Amino acid sequence: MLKQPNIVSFCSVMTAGIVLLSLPTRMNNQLKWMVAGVFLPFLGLAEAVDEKAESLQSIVVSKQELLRENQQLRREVQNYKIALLKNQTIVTENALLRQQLGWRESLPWRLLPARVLVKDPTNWWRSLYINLGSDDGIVENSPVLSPSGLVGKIEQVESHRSLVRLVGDQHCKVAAMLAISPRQDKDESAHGTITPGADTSLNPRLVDFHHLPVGTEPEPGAKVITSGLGGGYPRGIPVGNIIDSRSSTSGLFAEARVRLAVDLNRLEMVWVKLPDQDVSATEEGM
Amino acid sequence: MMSRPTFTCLILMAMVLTYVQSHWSMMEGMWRAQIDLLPVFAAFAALHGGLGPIIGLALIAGSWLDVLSANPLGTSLVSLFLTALILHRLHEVLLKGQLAAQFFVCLAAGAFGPTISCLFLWGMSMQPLAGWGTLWQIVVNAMICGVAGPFIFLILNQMDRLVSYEPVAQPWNRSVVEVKRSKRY
Repeated sequence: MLKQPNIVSFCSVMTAGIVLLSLPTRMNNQLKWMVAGVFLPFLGLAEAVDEKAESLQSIVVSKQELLRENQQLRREVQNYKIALLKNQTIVTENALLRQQLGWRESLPWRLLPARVLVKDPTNWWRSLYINLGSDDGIVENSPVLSPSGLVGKIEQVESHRSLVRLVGDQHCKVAAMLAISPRQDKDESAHGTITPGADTSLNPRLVDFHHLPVGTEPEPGAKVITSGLGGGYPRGIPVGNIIDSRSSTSGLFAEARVRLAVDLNRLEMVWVKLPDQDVSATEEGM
Repeated sequence: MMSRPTFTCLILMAMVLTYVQSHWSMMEGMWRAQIDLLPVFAAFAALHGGLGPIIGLALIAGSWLDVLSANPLGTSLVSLFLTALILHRLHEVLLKGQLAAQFFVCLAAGAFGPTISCLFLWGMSMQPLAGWGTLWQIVVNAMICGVAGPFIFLILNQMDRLVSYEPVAQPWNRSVVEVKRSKRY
C-alpha cells in the first residue's frame, strides 16, 4: 500500500512537472532564465575554474613548442594576407558590377567570436551554450559558424550566455543547396532541407538532405551549402558533403545523406553572425 | 535517515558531476553516448533518505541539468523524482550494502531515468532526437551508471560517516544485553 505522504508528494511533484512542461515555450524559457539566475554563482565558479585550468595548461607547454607554434601561425597569417589581397580585388569588382546593375550593396559580415561553455549533457538534443548574450548584442536566430562551416543558430538569449541549436537537432532545420561546380554549365542547383536523419542520434555528423527534386543524383563528395532561402542563414556557408543518395519512400522527392563539415563534438570556439545593419539607418546615425 | 550535511554533499557532488559531464564530453566520442550520472544520485537518495531528500535532489539537481541543457524546465524533475520514488518504495527489500545490489539498482536507475525523460518529451510533442541509436545510448548509460554506482555510493557513505554523528548506543538495545539463561533451559 502507498502511504499518504507518498501519494501527496507524487501528485504534487508530477503536477508541478506537467504544469512546467505545458507552459508555452517562451514562458518556460523565461522561467528557466530565472532559475539559471539562481545557479549564476555556480556557473560563474565553474567558468572561473575552467579559465584557471586553461591558464595552468600554459605552464606545462614548453617554450620551444610555443615558438614553433608562433612561427607556424605567422606563416599562416602571411598566407591569409596574400589570399585577402586577391579577394579584395574580387570584392571591389563585385561591388562595381552590383552598382552598374543597380543591385543592393552586399554588406560585410559582422562576426563575434564566442567560447563554448557547455555541451548539452543529454542525448536527445544537439545544443551548446556560448559565453555571449544579449549584453553583447546577440539576438535570436543568428547563424553560428566555425571556420569549417555552419554550426547552428542561436535559440535562447540570456544576458551573459546563449543557447545554440546545432545542425542535426530537430529544432534547427537548414535550407540548403548543392554547390554549383565549375564544370556545371547551367546556373541551377538542387535545393532542399537539412534535417536530422536516422543515424544522427548515434553520429551527430550524419544528417539527411530532404526534399531534393526527383531525379537529383548528387555525386558522393558533392558540396552542400546554405541556400539563403527563408532568410535564416546567408547563402554560401558550407554545410557538408554528400555521402549517398536515394529516392524518398513517397517517390515525390530525392534524399541524400550528408556528412557535416564541422565536427560538432570538438567545438571550442564559434563565431556568431550579427544581423546586418540597415545602411540607411547607419547613414542617418552618422 | 539522511543528515543535512550528507544531503548537501550529495547535491554538490551531483551538480559538479553534471557540469563535468557536460563540459568534457570524452565519453561521447568514445561510446557515442552522453553519460548522465544523476540517476545514481537519485538511487542513493532513495535508498538512504526519505521523501525530503528525494524531492530536494529532483528539484535542485534536475533544475541544474535543465539549465545546462536544452531541456524545457521540469523535464529532469519528473524523471529523477519517478526513478527515486520507485526505488524508495523498494528500499526495504533491497540489500543496499551489497555491491551487486548497488550495481543492479544503479543499472536500472541509469536506464529508467533517461527513458522517462525522453518519453515525457516525446509525449509533450517536443521532438527530441530519438531513433535506434537512443536504445544504444540508454544501454551504455545504464552500464556506466551500474559500474559507477558502487563507487559513488562508497564515496557518499564515507562522506556521511565524516559529516554525521555516530548514533549513540541505546541502553535498551537488545543486541548488547547479555541474556543469562537459567538452569531449567
